[in-house]
Amino acid sequence: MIQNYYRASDAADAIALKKAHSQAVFLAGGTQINRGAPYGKTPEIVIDIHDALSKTIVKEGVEIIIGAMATLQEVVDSELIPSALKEAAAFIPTRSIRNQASIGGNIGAACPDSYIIPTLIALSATLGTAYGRMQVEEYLEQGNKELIYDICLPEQPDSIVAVKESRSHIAPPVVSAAVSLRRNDNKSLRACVTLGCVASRTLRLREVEQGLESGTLKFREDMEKAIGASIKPKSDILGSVGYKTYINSVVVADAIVRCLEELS
Amino acid sequence: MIINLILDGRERTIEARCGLSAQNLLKQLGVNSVRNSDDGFGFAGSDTILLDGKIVGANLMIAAQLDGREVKTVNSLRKGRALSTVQEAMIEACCVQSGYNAPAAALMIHDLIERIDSPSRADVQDALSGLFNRATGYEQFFEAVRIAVAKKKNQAYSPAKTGSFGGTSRYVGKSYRKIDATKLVAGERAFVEDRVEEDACILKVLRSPHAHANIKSIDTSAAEALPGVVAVFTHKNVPHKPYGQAGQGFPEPSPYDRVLLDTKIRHHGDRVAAVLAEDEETAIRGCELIKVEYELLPVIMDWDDAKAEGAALVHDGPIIYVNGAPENLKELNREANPKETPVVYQFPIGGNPRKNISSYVEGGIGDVEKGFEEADVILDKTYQTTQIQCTPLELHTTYVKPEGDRLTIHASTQVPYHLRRIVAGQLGVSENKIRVIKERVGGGYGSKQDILLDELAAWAAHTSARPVFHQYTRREEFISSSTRKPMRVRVKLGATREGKFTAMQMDVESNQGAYGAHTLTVPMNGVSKSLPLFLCDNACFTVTSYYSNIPPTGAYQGYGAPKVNYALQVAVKELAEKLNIEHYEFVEKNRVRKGEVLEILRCLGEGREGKPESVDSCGLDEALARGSKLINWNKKEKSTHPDIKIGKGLCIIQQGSGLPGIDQANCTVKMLGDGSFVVQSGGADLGSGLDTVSAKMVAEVLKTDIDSVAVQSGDTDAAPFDTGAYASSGTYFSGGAARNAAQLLSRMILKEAAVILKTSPNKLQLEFPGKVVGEAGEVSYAQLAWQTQGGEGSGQLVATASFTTKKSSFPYGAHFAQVAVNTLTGRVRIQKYYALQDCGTPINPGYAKGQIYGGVLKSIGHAMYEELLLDEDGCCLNTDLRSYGVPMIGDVPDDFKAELVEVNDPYGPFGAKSIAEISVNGAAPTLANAIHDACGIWLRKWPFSPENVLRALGKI
Repeated sequence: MIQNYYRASDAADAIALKKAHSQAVFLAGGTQINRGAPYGKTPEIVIDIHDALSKTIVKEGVEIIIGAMATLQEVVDSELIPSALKEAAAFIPTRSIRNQASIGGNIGAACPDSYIIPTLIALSATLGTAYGRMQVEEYLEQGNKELIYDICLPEQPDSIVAVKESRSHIAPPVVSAAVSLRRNDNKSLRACVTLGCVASRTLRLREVEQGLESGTLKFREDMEKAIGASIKPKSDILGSVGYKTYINSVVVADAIVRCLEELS
Repeated sequence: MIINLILDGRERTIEARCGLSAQNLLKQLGVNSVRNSDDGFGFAGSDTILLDGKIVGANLMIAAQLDGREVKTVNSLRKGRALSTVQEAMIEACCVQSGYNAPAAALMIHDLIERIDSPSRADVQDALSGLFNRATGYEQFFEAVRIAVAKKKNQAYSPAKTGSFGGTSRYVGKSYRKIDATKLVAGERAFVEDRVEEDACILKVLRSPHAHANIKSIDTSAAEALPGVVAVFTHKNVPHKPYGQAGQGFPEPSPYDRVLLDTKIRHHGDRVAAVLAEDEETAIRGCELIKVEYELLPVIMDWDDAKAEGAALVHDGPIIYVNGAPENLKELNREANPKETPVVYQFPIGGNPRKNISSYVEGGIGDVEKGFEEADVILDKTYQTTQIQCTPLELHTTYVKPEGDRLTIHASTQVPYHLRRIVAGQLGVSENKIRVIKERVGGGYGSKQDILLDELAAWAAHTSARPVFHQYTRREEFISSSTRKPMRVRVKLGATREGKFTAMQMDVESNQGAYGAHTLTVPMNGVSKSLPLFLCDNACFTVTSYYSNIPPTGAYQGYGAPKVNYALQVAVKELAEKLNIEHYEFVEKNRVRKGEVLEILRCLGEGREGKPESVDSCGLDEALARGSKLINWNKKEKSTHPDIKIGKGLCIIQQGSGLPGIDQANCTVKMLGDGSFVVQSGGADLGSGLDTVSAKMVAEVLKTDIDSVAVQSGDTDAAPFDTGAYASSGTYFSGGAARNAAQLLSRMILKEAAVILKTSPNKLQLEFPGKVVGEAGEVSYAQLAWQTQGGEGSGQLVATASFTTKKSSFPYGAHFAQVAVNTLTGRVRIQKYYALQDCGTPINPGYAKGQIYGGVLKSIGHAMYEELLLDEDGCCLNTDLRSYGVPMIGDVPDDFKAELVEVNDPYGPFGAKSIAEISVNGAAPTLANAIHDACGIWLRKWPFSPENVLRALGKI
């Protein structure tokens, strides 16, 4: 149960409050932290950053800067946001959640089934934090503890596809993934294949990416096999290991094929 | 902390704990319409508000987040008494059923049409994406938006009415505003939680973490010492009086096999102890402080575990019979544990708890063995269904107030009179000491036919002399409410090459769970509502229900029919394929028709001897013909994607209209001083519009303006006995009682008018609006009331009548679907779903359709998505609505139609039959058959999830 609540006036204030209350948790939209509040699972101290951080979405040169407090619905509605990220945000099937949840909060929560994180990785997004700018993967590897100020989207890849799969419209996903491809100046391919739902945090399938970049993975069946071999999902209420492995393999392979088709 | 906000245009300041949920804060500010359906999970949307102009869920926010912000609730939409355009549109589209989160829907639609001038179907789905609404099936919300948009452009716009039925009747069969819709859509106080006063104590239950265990010791001293705890209850200080929670007519066919708090635990979530405290936090903390030592017992998960040699016994106590004890009772009880709660049967239902069998019945007609010998083709398959949660939006809730030597129970119940009887029995008081007021019910679907918490709260109130509020959490709904029973159904069918049935056999095994609610009647009903759909001289069945340690089961809309009919209807298609006969043609060759006598019902009485029934009305001819035309049955649709296969399926369905010879409804109609009327109905309106049905019937008979008919229902002190809202009895029984009372009153009116006009009653007649006319002149109801209620009058005109019947009026229907199966992912998309149903004369056509939409989408959910998952120890794994998998507006079929087939039934009031329950009987077989048509797989087990489809396809 939340016992102490602090409202940060700006980013510096938020950092100072965090230093003063090391157990405190940043409260952005609250869709993660407040969930289950009646059961006493919420943190005891929160620092509300609603008024402390930007929520604007602006274009600066080829880059798009998204304020961390921009809601996911604002991401969906913005004309500046790449369609893949809009689509990924819209995968969150409930409008009221999208209205409340912030993009920074979604990244900070680092849920393994986040729809946003795979797409941000596929977009090569970087995060502005108190400790400088870092890749999304880097942020996750460091334990996703730093306050995120903004998200920077560099120039878009040449093709990108975000995918999800769930039992029903609103059910928790068994697939949340994104694939992007970029042509370098020398025409070589740079691939990013990133999946949630199959591990404790979002993964990149480096071997699959290398196979695509080297041209050894050309056929859908080979891609499916390579993806299946790269993941080790666990059986849970959403499905068996066999199902999760299969569905991620075929859906992500399909996304790769669509990316390649778009590229050609 | 001090919180300042602008609430519905007014600046408000309130001191509150920062971690309090925003929904609770609003409640403290007097806003009742922002409700809790999911304990802050952010799923159901009953807690919707507009925060700085955006739709959010208040229960997913803390109070502190509202500081400095603008909050709008549904109160902001209404101007004085006038509803907003959106609220009016919702009423006209008939999508205000239980109304529990109708205010939330109104805010969502308001937000939508403020953002988008002409919303598409996808826009509506997005706007209402956060609204869980089990009752409506969502389809009519699309119409509500269409009407709201049209009204926004032109305030004078009036939508076309939903069909016209009932011949020249003024109200029956015609669209009319549901009489409680205004207060529900406006968010007025209407539900149990709205009646709770500030001094109420809170009752919380400590529930078992184990599925099967004995309580070795229990220490409540720390809980009792906690400041704010009023009382702690365990098996040591409650009556040890066996009872059953099933709200059925007495004597019930369900055994009495539980006590308020026991020494033995029979399911995960079973009651261990209860704490009554001054506030919720203290009650929860009190439960945490109770120390319990358990002796774990082997867990019985299903029928196979239950009947295994040497299986642990779920009920090891003595067996007692009130009537009809079997000759071997003494032998059965020889090894019973006398310390365990006994199992008390009111009369024999074939149960043998010594073998974990809670009930058993068999029966048949003709010579089945010979029938199979005569068959050219025999099909023998087994089908299995899952445990399904009712998931009412309004959590199970009760508020009990001691008043002198009486208790008043504000209940959310389908059965106020059964509730009164069961509570009185546990308290050891006579029924006149208990008053039950059934408030508006935010969804029940069968789970509120059982008395799940009122009796414990009543004991707490009775002994503490304090008002007691007790409300389940959503998690408790999953582990401690009653659910749809899992079943395994073997179907054996024989037929000639020409496609005529020669023999039918069904063997039903039901996983009853921990206690015996509806043990016999649910699975038996599955047989009685499916087998008679086909004509066969040789048919037999067995029904066996097994006790187990899964969470309790009970009634759910459709009772046993959705499961057993699924098995039978898929088997029929499987047999048709074996015979190489087209499915529709095979159904037509064998189905029931008007004029047939259903001999099989002789063996299918509800816990007593049955009798053959004649089919005196049947709309199947038209339902099948119209449905096949609508879906273009004979046309094979082509897919444009290589992985996607398209198929069509159908099934036929049947239900009953109440329980003839068992149930009874009563109603009183009173003429008031100005000639208007009050109807006091025992019927329990669950949101389906039963009160409106009663008002229509009274207005129709008395030829008076319906606005001059008020209905008060479900108050056991005020209205006469009614069996309650279950077994499809509402319109037929409770409506029938209202009609009968009005007819009796009309004769009284004519008699009194004849005195005034100095003529004979048979020379007079009632004439709209509200007068008596004849050659001798006319007298208005107002004049008549003044005459009868004056000092020299004969007394207020009051008529009470009952409705009983020996006749069954079976509603029928045909469902058709077209699906697209993605053979790569296993996802099934429902492109078309058409439900055509004969409910006799539809009394409220718009709401009749709403009932169909709601029933069909529920059963789509049951068949496709929903699954109560237990681990190997019997503990429930998915205790929230999202992971459980209820369908939302995004799951509605692309083209969804409910069509009414009007048939004038000779026995129902104004020709009516039941409508709601039957609607859940069709989706599972229709979809299974359509999926087979698409990609060749037979789905003989729920759910038709992507994983199970892929498994059937051999992909995993």
